[in-house]
Amino acid sequence: MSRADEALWKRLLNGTRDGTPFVRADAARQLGVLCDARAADALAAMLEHDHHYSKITAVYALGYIGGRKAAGALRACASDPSVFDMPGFYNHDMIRLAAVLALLWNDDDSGLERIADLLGEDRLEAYVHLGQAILELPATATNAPLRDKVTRELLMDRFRQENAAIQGRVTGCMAYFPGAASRRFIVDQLSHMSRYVRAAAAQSLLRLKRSSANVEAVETLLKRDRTAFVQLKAAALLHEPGDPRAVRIVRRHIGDEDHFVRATALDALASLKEPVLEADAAARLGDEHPYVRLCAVEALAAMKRAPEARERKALLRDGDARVALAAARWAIEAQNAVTVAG
Amino acid sequence: MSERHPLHAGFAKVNITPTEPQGLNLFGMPRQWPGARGVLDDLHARAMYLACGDSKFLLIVCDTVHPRTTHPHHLAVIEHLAAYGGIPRDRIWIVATHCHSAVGEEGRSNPHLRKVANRYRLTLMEKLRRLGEQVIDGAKPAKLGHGEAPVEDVGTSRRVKLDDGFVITGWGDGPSPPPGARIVGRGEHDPNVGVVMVRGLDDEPLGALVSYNSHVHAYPIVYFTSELAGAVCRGLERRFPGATALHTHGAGGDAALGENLEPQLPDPEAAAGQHRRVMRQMSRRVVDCIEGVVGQMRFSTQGRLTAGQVSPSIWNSVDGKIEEPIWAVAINDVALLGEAREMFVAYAQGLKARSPFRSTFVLGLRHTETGSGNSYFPPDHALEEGGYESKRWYEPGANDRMLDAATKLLTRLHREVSA
Repeated sequence: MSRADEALWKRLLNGTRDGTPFVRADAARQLGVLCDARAADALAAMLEHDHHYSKITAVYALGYIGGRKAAGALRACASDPSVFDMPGFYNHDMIRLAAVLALLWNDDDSGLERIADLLGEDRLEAYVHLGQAILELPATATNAPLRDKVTRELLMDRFRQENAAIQGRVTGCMAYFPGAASRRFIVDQLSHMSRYVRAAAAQSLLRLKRSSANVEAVETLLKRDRTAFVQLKAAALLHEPGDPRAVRIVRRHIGDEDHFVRATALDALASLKEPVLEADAAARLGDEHPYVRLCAVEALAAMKRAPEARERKALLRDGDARVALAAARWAIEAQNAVTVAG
Repeated sequence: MSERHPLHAGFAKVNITPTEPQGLNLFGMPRQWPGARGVLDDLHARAMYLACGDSKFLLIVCDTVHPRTTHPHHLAVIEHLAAYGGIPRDRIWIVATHCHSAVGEEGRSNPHLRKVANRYRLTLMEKLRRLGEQVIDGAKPAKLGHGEAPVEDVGTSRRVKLDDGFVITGWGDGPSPPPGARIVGRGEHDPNVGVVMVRGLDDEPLGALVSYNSHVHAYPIVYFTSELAGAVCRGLERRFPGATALHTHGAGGDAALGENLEPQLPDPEAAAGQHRRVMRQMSRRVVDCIEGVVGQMRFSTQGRLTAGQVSPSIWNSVDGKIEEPIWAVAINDVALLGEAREMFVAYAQGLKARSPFRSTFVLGLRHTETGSGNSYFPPDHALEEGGYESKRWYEPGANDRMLDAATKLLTRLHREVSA
C-alpha cells in the first residue's frame, strides 16, 4: 500500500471515531462498501459503545466484510450487553436483530439462539423495518426462524394503517410474496398520499414481477405523478440502456432548488449508468449542499469513473467530513481498480 | 379595547413528587418497564399569574408528560380558581413540561399501586388549587421584559431522513436505517430559547417563563426526575434568587435533546448519575443564555393584557373532523400561544415569522376541556416521510391552516394591545 493509500485508509478508520454520529455512521458505511477485513477492528470497536445509527451501520459493515473478527463482534452484539436489558430501548432489538442478520449473510446462524426472546415475543415492528433484508435471505432451514417471522399476514393485517415509513417498508416487503394479494396491495400503494410510498410501490411492483401489466402500472404512475421524487424513481426503474427519457428527467431535476431532489436525481443517475450523464454528476461535485456533493461522489464512484487529481484534492479537503469520507472511498476504489487492471 | 394598567404578577411553586414512589409507573416509559426505584430530583408544579387591571391570566406548568394524565380532575381546579380569582376559564392554562419521568397512569394489575397513584392524583389536585390561590393572593406590582437568543448543542431534530425519503427516529421502538440506507440529515431545529422575565418594582426577580422548542427528556430512567425542565428551573432560581422559573414544552414534537448524548449505561444507578451530569451541563448552557437575554431586556411596569381563542375545523384519522383549539394571551408586545398538541418546530418558526408581536412563544401540551388532543400534529412533509410522530394522518394543508388561524388570532390581539 502506498503512503497516499495509507492516508486514505487512515482517514476512513479515523472517521469511525469522529465526534459526530452521522460521520461515524458514514465511515462505517464506506468501509462496508470497501469490504476490506482490515476495517473489522475499527468497526467492532463501534459496537462496544456507540450511538445507535453508527452502531447499526457498523453491524451491517461487519456483515459485508465477514470473517472471524467480524463474526465475534456480531455474536456479542446479538446479545447486546451494552444497554439496559429492557425492551424498546434505543433500538436495542433492532441492533441485535441486525447483528443476527449480518451473521446469516455469512451463513452463520449462531446469533439466532441469542435472540430467542425476540423470536418468541411480540416485537414485530423491528421485523418490518428489517423485513426486506430478512426476506432477501435464501429460503433455507438455517434462515427459516427469522424469515418465518415476516409473513404476508403480519404485514397486511398488523401494519396496514401505519405511518408512511412503515407503509413504505411493508410495501417493499410485499415484493417477496408472489401472488395476486401482494400485487393488489402494492398497486393500492401507487395512489398513497406519500410520494415516498408511491415510489416504494413502483419498485416493489417491478421486483414482484417485471410483467407487462406491472411495467404499464409504473408507466402510468410516471405519467400521472408530477412529484420529482416519483418521476426520478419511476424513470430509473423503467430505464433501458440508451433510452433518453430517464436522462431527460434526471437533467430536469438535477438543478432543482430542493437539495433532496438534486440528490435523488444523482441517485437515479447512478443507477442509469449512462456515460452521457457523467459530466452532469461531476458538475454537482461543487454543489452548495454537502449532501448533494456526497451523492455526486457516490454517483461517479458507481459509474466507475476515477476521480481526476484536482477533484480528488478538493474533495478530500471538503469542509464536510461525510463528503471527504466518500471521496476517500472513491479514491481507494479507483486505485484498487487500477491495481486489478494492472 | 383594553387599557394600559399597572402590571401585577405572582409566582409560586409546589413540590409534587410522589411520597410513595417505589414501583409506580413512570409515564413515557414502555409499559414493560419496571416501576420507579425512587426519586432522582423533585417534580414541581409552578405557576405564574399576570394581571393588568381586570384582565388576568393564570398559567400552571406541571412536571407531567401531558395534561391528559390529570384529566378530568384538573377541570374542577380550574373551575375553583376561575371563581376564586375572577379569571375567565379560558385564561387559566394547565400545561405540561413534557417530563417523561413523572407519574403516569397506573396500568398495572397491582391494586396497591393503583391506590397509591389515585391518592397521588387527588393530592396533586389539592396542591394545584392551593398553588393557584397562592399566586393570585401574592400578586404584587411588577415589571415585565422578554427576549430570546440561541443556545448551542442542547436541542436537535430527532427526525432523521434517509435517501428513500422516509424518516426514522431511532429511539424507543422507532426504526433504524435498513441495510444500505444513506442518512440525508436531520430535520429543522430552533435553537432559540425565549424568556419572559418579571421583576418587582424594586428590581427583585419574581419569576421567569422559559419557552424552548425542544424536548426535555434525554434518557429512559427508572427514577422520578423533572429532566431538563427541572434542571433549567433550578439553575435559573439559583441565578436569580427569589425568582420562580417555569419551563414550558414549546413546539417540540419533532425535537430531541442533543445529538451527541452519550449512550445509556447498562447499570441503572450509573445511568442515573450520567443523567444528572448531562442535565447539569445542558441546563447551564440554557441558563447562561437566558442570563444574557435578561441583561439586554427592557422592562415595562404598565401593560395591556388580552386573550382569545380560535378553533379551525380540521380532519385527522383518529378523531375525524374536529375543532382544533388554539389559545393566545398577549401582554404588550409578547404573545403566548397555547396548543393542545405537540406541534413541530417548523410551526413555531412559521408563527414567529408571521406574528406581529416582538416575541411569540408557543406553549404546547395545554389542557383541553375534553382531555383529548395531547398528540402530535405533523406538517404535510412529515406525514409523507412517516416516522413515530406521523401515525395520525391529518388532511393536507392542516398545519398551514392552523398557522393561518393562529396568525389571524395574534393579529387581532396585537391590534387590541397596541391601540
